[in-house]
Amino acid sequence: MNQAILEFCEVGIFYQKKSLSFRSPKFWALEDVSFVLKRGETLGVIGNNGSGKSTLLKLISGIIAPDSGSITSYRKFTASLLALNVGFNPNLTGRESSVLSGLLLGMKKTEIESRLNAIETLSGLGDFFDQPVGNYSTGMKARLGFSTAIQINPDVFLVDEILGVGDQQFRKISYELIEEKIKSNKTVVLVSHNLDVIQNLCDRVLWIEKGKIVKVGDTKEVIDYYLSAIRQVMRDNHQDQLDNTRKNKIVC
Amino acid sequence: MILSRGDSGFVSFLLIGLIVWKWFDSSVRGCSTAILMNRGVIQQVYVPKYLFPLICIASNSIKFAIVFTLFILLYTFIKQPPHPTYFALPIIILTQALLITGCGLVLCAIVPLIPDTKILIDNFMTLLFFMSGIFFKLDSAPQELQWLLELNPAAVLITLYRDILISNHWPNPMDIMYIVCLSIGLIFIGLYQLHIHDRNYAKIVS
Repeated sequence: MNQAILEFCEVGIFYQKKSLSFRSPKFWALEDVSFVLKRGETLGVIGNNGSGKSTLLKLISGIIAPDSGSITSYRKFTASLLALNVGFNPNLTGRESSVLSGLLLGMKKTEIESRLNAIETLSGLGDFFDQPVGNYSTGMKARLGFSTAIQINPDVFLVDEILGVGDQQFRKISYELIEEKIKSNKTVVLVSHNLDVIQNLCDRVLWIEKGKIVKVGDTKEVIDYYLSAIRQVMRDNHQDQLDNTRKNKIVC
Repeated sequence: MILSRGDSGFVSFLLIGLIVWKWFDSSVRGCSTAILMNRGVIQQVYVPKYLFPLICIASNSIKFAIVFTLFILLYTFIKQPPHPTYFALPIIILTQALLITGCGLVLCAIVPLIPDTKILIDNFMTLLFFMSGIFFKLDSAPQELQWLLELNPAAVLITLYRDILISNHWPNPMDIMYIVCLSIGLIFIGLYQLHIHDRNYAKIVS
């Protein structure tokens, strides 16, 4: 427990749209991000939409590489990214997608096939399990992705917002299963806007805003800091509105 | 017969051109979109990107193998018995596989980086279809265009197949060398591009 498995050192990554005649300016999704991910910990990631949380998960999983800085991996690990609308070829059925996901994460075909029944039951997809994923709703894709990942059991779980998706029953099951993984000393990185979930499940929290880390540390400390900052922003906005109203009245 | 282009030999002449072209065309077009088509997978887990065009080439090669075997069986049964030059067919098939791999890897690497090139590729492949001697013999083309047609590796390949199957001539080693050298160059460029952008594609195609 608490051995570093991954270290980010001043990591930056940008997006840029290119075509034959046009090249958009660089948008830095993350800049100067430095932190350590420890083995067996549950790290929460919070921040507004577009702050770079999902990009951070992709960097941790090794799907993308940084454009600046470095990521040091201290041990070899498999990571599964659980996010909405990613991970599946729409032409493959749920069953085939599960097998493919298992193979891509280094499992043997026979091993993943032996767990297909458990994936089918957990996902609750019924007949849809043998239908092309292209016919699935967002919630159904989340169910399939989550059930597959739980059965494949990678070294690191990267959960991007999917705990808040689906019906009440699925939310409860997914929450309980993640809780179980956390208890079994699995490394989990959890992105969520639900601060209660973060508070209950995470050992540490990383608050990221406009691509930069605002604060990283103890869960309670970071969440309190985050909430007070939000209250301050809301107070400032309210004050601005009052000032604008006064100015308008004077002009009138 | 067909298109008023001479005797029944034109059917086999045309079929050889079409079957060989189909393998080349469907594989190259498939490879050009291989990464885009698998964007869901590459955003979930890291996969070496050269696998996607190779999977596409493998699946199209199986289709080609079935169709070409059927054609050879019918051709030798109906048209003319097998000839010793048929032993050169595996070399030509391997040469074509190399060419497809080279073109496929290069296009697979470029299209996600500059998606507009997909339109150019589609149009270029249509142009190439009419410039590959599928409907005509290369030496029947206007003299001033001959050099251009002979530079086209697809046209050279189709001619090599016809030399073996129709004329029962051994293939020209220089033609094979030309395609092999070109293919190795393309494979090198394609693999290099895929390597340097390997972990950028998930960012680009999102």
